[in-house]
Amino acid sequence: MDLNVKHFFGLLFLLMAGAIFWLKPHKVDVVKKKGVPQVAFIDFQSYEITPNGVEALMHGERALKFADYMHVELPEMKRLTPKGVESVKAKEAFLYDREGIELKERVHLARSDGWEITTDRIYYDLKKKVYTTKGLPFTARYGKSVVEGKSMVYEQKSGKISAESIRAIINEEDRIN
Amino acid sequence: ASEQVEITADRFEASETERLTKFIGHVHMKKGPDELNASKVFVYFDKARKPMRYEAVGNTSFVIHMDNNQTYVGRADRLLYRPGKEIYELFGNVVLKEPRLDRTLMGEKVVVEKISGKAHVEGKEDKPVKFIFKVEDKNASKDR
Repeated sequence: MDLNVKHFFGLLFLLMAGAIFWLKPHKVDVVKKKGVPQVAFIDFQSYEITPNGVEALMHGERALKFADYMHVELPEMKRLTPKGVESVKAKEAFLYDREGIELKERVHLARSDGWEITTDRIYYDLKKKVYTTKGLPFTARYGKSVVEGKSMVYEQKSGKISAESIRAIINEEDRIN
Repeated sequence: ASEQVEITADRFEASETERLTKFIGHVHMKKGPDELNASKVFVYFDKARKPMRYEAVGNTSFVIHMDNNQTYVGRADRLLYRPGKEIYELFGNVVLKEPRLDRTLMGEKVVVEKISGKAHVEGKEDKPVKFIFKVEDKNASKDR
């Protein structure tokens, strides 16, 4: 069978189309390997910007972004809440995409109304906007008063804090004689 | 020097807007020699975050040591305590006992002033004030 030039180029075109369709050279697969950081940040600051402006910011000494979470060392976060600015810091934090933030070791949460909470671990649910110490002990301070307990839950929207197994020391004014 | 109150409870709730802290479940409160037990105790704070008032409700029982060394033991439906003035206000089915003199006071509202040692009692129409105390029997004193 004589193969003339038109047939040759037609065949060539078909082969190329087939190659593009199957091999997909235009696409690059992101390496979704668990445990392998995709991006590293050093001494960084990130902002959460909404139509109302900057609503939250986070500073961290070092951060590694993995496929489905981010690990931050010495995070410091500030968030504008209906009740004022709230800040939280810890030794490390794990940010799970669009779910929550787990803060570990030397966790310190400070609210604009004066409540300060220290604990070893706290979880912040991004959807419900609720902090919990998940059964672990915490210490809360308000003025000179101190409250110790377990299983603290802080609902950011309502501003309500609740907890269990409580022991509190309330410091009073001097007597009025 | 400022004084300290220690409170233990099953649960605790703090509300931001009302500057109110609630202690709920087996609440035990201790301030120096004075003690209080109740189902709930609410602590109201002022703007300087200092406690202004304590309110105890539910199975409230207490021991109050007065400055003049009197001691009151008793119970009430509700108790209000104002730390600065050291005044206890007791409401509803109040029973106040003075163990040393074996005296008992019952009323609907009793105000106890720790500093002056005074107690002011009010009753209600259907529940008058009742005061029970022991009277020395003259014959008994003669027979001795």
